[in-house]
Amino acid sequence: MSALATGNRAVSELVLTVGGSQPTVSEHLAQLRKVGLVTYAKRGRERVYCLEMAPLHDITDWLSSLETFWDDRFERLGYTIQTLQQEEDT
Amino acid sequence: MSNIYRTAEFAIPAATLWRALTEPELLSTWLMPNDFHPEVGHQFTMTTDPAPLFDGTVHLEVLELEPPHRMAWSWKGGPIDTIVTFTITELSPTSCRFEFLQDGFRGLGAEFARMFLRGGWRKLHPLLRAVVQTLDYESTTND
Repeated sequence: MSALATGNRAVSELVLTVGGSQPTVSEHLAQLRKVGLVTYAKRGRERVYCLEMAPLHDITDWLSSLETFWDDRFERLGYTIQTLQQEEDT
Repeated sequence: MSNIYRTAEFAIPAATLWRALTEPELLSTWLMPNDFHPEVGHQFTMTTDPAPLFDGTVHLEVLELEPPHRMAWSWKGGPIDTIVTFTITELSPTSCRFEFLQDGFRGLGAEFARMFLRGGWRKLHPLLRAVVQTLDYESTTND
């Protein structure tokens, strides 16, 4: 009972809650598991799923680092262009 | 916003900016060490620092090449599969505008990437969203 209370759901329970077919829900859970956004524990023959927030934070961190990456690169592009300009002027 | 967009004006001819974007030695001075070749279909890689979900290797392919105005690459690294586009617009014989766009985030990791870039759950596949929201709702209401 405490497993349910912490937000863990078996596939059968998720199907009841969200609708859709069991194979479709299972497929979505497999996709989420592939990127580490959910994990599961075995409860008898069932898998009980819960959400992993850490990868979501990783993705947002990574995206903001991607924006920083480009800002840094374009600053460097500016310097490269200055050098090219000087070369072409001489 | 589900993409990364940057623009700048430079006081150099369009052809000079094109060189900076397409000559491998120049690319390596500002972007990353690479084995780029300006030819449609050429596949190459770039190496940078690893990050969460990313081993530091970017896999690219030249998709479009229209000298000296436009170049597009497919860019795959970490959890994302995207398109980067460089556009040069001549403003005068000695100045041009540069535009950069990274877009087309695909793949499941990218669904979440798009979601966070947009700041919302709305565009996520409805069933996927329902699954995640159910799990999230349960865990927050039972804390």
